[in-house]
Amino acid sequence: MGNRRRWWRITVVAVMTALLTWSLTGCWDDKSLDTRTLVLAMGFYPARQPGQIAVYFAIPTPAGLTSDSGSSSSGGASGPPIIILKGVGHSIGQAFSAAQASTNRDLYLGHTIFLLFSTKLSPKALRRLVNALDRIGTLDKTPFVAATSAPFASVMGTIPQEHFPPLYYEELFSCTTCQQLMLGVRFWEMSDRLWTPGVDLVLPLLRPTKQGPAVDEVALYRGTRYVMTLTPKETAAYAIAAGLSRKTSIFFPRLWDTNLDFVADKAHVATRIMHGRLQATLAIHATATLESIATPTETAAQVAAISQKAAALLADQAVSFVRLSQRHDVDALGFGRSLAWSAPAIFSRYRHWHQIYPHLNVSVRAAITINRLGDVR
Amino acid sequence: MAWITERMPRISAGQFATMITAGYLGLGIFYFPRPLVVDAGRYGLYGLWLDGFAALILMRFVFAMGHLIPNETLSGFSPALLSKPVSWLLGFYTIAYHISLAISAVILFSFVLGNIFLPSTPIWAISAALTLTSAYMAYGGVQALARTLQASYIPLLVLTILSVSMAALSIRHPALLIPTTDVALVPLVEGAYHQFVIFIGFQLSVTLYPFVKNTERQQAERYSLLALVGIVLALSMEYEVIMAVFGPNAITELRWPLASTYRIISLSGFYISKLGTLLIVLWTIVIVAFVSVRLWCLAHDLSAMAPRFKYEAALGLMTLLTIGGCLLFPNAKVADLLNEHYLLPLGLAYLVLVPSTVMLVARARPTLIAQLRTRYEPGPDI
Repeated sequence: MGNRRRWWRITVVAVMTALLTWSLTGCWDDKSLDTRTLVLAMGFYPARQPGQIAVYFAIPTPAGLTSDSGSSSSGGASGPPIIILKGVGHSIGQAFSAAQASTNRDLYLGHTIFLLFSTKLSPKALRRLVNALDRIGTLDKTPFVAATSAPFASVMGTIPQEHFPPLYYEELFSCTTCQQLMLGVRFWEMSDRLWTPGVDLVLPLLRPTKQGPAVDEVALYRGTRYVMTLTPKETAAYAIAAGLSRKTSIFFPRLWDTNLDFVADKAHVATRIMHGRLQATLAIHATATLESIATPTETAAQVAAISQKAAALLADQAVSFVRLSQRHDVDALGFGRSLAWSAPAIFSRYRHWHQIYPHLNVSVRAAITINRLGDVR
Repeated sequence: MAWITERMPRISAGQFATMITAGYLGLGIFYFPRPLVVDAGRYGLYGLWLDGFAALILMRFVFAMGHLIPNETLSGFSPALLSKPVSWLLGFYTIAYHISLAISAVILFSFVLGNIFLPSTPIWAISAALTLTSAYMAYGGVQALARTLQASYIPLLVLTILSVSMAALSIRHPALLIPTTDVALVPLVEGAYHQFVIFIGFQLSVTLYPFVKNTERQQAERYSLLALVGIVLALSMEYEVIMAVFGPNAITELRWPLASTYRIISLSGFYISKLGTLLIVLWTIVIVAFVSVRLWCLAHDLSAMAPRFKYEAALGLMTLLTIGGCLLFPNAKVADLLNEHYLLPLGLAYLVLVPSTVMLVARARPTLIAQLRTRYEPGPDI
């Protein structure tokens, strides 16, 4: 009896060990790399057929893979670094299947690092796209997103270096010292903004030029509706108002030829009810490097005068952007969100924040600290 | 059930606290803190503390029931105390309830894994692998299970808490770190009620209690309560980070807020750039611990109710029931509904009604209690 029981136990343990070894490998999803194609970037455009969308998938070519690994001297194959597949359909799924039909490899979205949305997408299509992308479990939610009015191929084709275009944009947006303005928006931040009432979406706009891609403009949205693109100058004002400036320069020719560099700022938005009226404040605090001045050393009085002048300039810029955004009714800085989070009961009284925002009374405060002298970084 | 005291392997106070903690955290962790935020918005944190306080009281209540006859499990002494039919009813309720808890946890995590990492793998294969792993851990008995958990569960919890600081790098709205003082009571209580699902499951301590070494029982209770306080603190940190990263409106739209929070951790330059995603895989340990502790307790309850079932056979039966139950779920939404509409109210009812009934009956029949106590003499500590 005891012997039989022992054998029984041994059999159970052996069978369970075998079953677990076999089942815990996840072998259904075990696909070797050469049967799989990693989609590095996706682009979303309206299709010619009404109501449909065209989805572009940028995938690296073998030539691109070998040249990107840094072994170009050892005879990496030549050719374009990426190829682009296109799929058209009513949904991402349909477009994906259509694109999948044009390749013998499995398209894999788990390594997507860049998403590009056309400014010509209808509001309904953009909302559907964002919801669908959110639902795709394998798609990471950290890729950077951008808007463009140029075709996908030209945005992907104007990269100066021998580099994967999607990787170029990912490195650009994630590098805090490579950009003048921190315009990078990750996908989860985009959907976060679309889900939150009282704040509107702002995406960096990519513009292919002969010298390479230009990333100095932003596209403003009201909900999921594309409203306008800011000029580079307006974009700089937006970045100051939103606290995204990192390397802005300010030159005062009449104030001892002073040049302030690396102006980096933080912005804080607060909307409250004061004396029965809605009152919003935008507080900006910036730091800057005094890069050059006409005198050999600077006096305290000079620094005070420069910072006062610079703060006034920042405030001016911020005011100009707030006015612009009120004119176009795009709450890009989230004044409504601030009210919704601090006083939800009051916010819920306004059925449409976009009817309130153009008439909101906003006061802007700015301060600047000059904390470095002549460092270039 | 003299055999329990005779050949019962004993666990230490720390092991008991680990098993109790593993017994409740697994379910509801992936929703956290959505139920709180849906109802209570920005003051959901108070709801979490309310939950923690309620769990503390109820845990003490369940331990107080354990003091009645400290050397026998509830399923062991309830036939004598509550009559056979009532005890059978209670036993079946316990088994059905805890099997449902296990199924729900396995199904939820299987869908998280399937959705994020294994899109081509059928859900039944993931849930069967999870359940079999749990059964394998429970197969070696209470001591082996407790040691496995000590070696895997505690480091994971520490790692999870540490990784909150990495998610904190993504905080976009620091103003949300301070909860509002503008609190409405009814939504707060509603949120706390819906979130209580995260604390459901520690009632299995009624089976576990007699297995603690006699000399370490008070310490075991203290450790469990301290662990609960620690868990509430850790969850508070998670809540704060999730709130300040996403804001209250977006949290209500996230299917698995905690998983989403870990997935946005991206470290450039580190050799695993998606560290948070790795953490979600490691959360397998939490689910497997939740299920294995449950399977162990149920197998014991069943073999106490029907001595014909040996422990191994009962464990096999419970495993099959769990795997079979998982097959019934077409999607994770059904598990959500099961949790919200059945498991949460029924679990709360158990936590309140069973200890109070048992203690009332015990107060009415003091001589019987004295008899039962002497019948189940404490065995020597091994």
